[in-house]
Amino acid sequence: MPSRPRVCYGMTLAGGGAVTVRAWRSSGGTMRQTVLAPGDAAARHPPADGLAESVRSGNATAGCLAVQESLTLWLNSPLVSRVKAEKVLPSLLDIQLPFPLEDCIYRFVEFRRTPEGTVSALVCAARRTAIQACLERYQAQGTDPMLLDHEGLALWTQSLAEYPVDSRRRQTPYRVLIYLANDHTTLVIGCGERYGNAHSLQMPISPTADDGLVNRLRLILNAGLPSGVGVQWLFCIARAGERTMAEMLHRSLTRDWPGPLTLIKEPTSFLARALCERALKRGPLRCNLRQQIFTHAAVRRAADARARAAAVGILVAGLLLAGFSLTSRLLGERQFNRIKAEIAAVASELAPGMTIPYGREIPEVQKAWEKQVLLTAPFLDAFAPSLAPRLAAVVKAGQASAVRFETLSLRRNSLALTGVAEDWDQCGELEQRLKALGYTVKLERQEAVAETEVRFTVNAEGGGP
Amino acid sequence: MKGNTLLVLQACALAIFLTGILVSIVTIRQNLGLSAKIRGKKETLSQLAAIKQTRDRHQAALRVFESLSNAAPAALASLGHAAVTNATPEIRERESRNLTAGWTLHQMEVVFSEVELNQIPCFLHMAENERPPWRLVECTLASSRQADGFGRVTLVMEAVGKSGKPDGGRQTADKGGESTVKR
Repeated sequence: MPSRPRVCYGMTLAGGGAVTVRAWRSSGGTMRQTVLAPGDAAARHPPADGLAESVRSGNATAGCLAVQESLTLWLNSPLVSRVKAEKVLPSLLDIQLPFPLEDCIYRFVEFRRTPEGTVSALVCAARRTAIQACLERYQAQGTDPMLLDHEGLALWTQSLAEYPVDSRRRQTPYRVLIYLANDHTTLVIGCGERYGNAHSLQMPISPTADDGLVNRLRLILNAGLPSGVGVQWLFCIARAGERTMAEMLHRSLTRDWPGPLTLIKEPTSFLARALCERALKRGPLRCNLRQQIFTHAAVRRAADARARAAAVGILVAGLLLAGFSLTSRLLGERQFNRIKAEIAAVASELAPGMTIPYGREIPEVQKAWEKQVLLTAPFLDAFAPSLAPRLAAVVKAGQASAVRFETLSLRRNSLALTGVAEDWDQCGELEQRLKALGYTVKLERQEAVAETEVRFTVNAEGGGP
Repeated sequence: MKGNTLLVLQACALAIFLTGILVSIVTIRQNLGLSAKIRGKKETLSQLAAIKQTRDRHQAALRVFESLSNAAPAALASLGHAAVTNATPEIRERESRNLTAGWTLHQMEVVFSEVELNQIPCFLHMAENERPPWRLVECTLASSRQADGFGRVTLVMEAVGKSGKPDGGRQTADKGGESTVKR
């Protein structure tokens, strides 16, 4: 089956007749359904082999196994871990079954945690012979459903979809759906949105056979419902004109379990609608009993196609990984070689005529450059700032500080001064002015003993470029 | 048969994927080493580029000198005569060093024995504005004990030039501006 079919034909068989619904899902997820008339060619032969239409256009066909041919059961494992519980649940199921587990197909459709924290699972199982018989019935009607759903689960989820649980109705926490088909009656019991169980009565309904049916129903409900609890009663009467019977049954049953009656609209196509809805939409309690040898050819092909696509994807991913890796390696080596070539070019330009060993570019070039720089540095030095402005600035600083220089020696990075000042503080002023010119100043002053003037010596470093 | 084909396909896909993973791991390890090498080489290249940049600046400075119409530095004696009155500079060559492309670095010592100090900036200004320029490298001043504003000035000047020695090596400029070479 395609992973997300867009169109589904849901077909139910009851009392020798077939009801077919064609449903399609829009890209927005909206469902539209049409009940196909029995004479309609599409109704008689909804994609019989499930091959061409399903695979090419993403369609699906769905049928269901009746409740009397299958079972649903809540299994309680003593384990807390779901993974571990999934391993022991088949054994627990085997114990519950009156026939060998190998003779049946089963699916665990829901897992829940019990108040004790252990894992509880709802299993849907059917005997292989029952599945085979059901498929043969469908094939006799000219179709081969890709999905074989469970009647009880389908009825329950569709009732929740069309008549959602009203959380305000706390007095009726339970819900009972009674599906009255031509040849049988199906009873689905649940609490809130939780599916409980489904039962089937092989009794054709008749307005005159009320007592027998009511008694059988009451017997089943006694086992599944606490006495006196409120129940929301849903009746789905697949035969027309049986409203009075539904009301009669409801009156009888509400004596023990009071609750309002809801009659399902368009009851004849209710189950077929349910099958379509479940096939087209994701949701809880989804089940397909066409497993293992019963798997539809189209489904198997689709699964094979997915497996092939996955394998091809992995293969391509592997090729891309290898390709990217090799490309990155090549690009890296190319970049490395390019830089090496650039280094060789620059080195040979800086040290012409020299043979430079690989990896010794810097020392060799530096050696060559040290020789060359002596020959060219004076040209650049000619553009260096002149010392003359600095000489002028130093002289100006002396004049501003009112000191008299006796000797002055100025070089690019040093300054030496000797002189006299009338005042001790004038030397300090000179020191500050020289510092402002960027010099690191060392000032020495001599105490004026006999003289009135202070002699000083300045040794300064720095002074800018 | 189909099942076998799918199995072979899946096995091949898995093998190629694992190979891809293996190749990726090996490549990542190799690339780590390679990227370290590339970083080292880039560092080398940047150091060489820095040297080249300095060399280019030197070359540019040389080109400026090459473009000068007159490659001989001006005679300091003449400049001294023009800028300083009442003093005759003693001019000595301190150093002469051959540079590249036929250029020579001349370092001259100019000594004004007793000169009015405020005339020195004018001399320096004139010398530095010559083409090729003279450049003050070192300056020593000693003020005179006899008169304020006078002193002995020793200037070390440097110039790059071609076509022989400026001032003819050692010289003294007399008051009339005629140079006398001292040996």
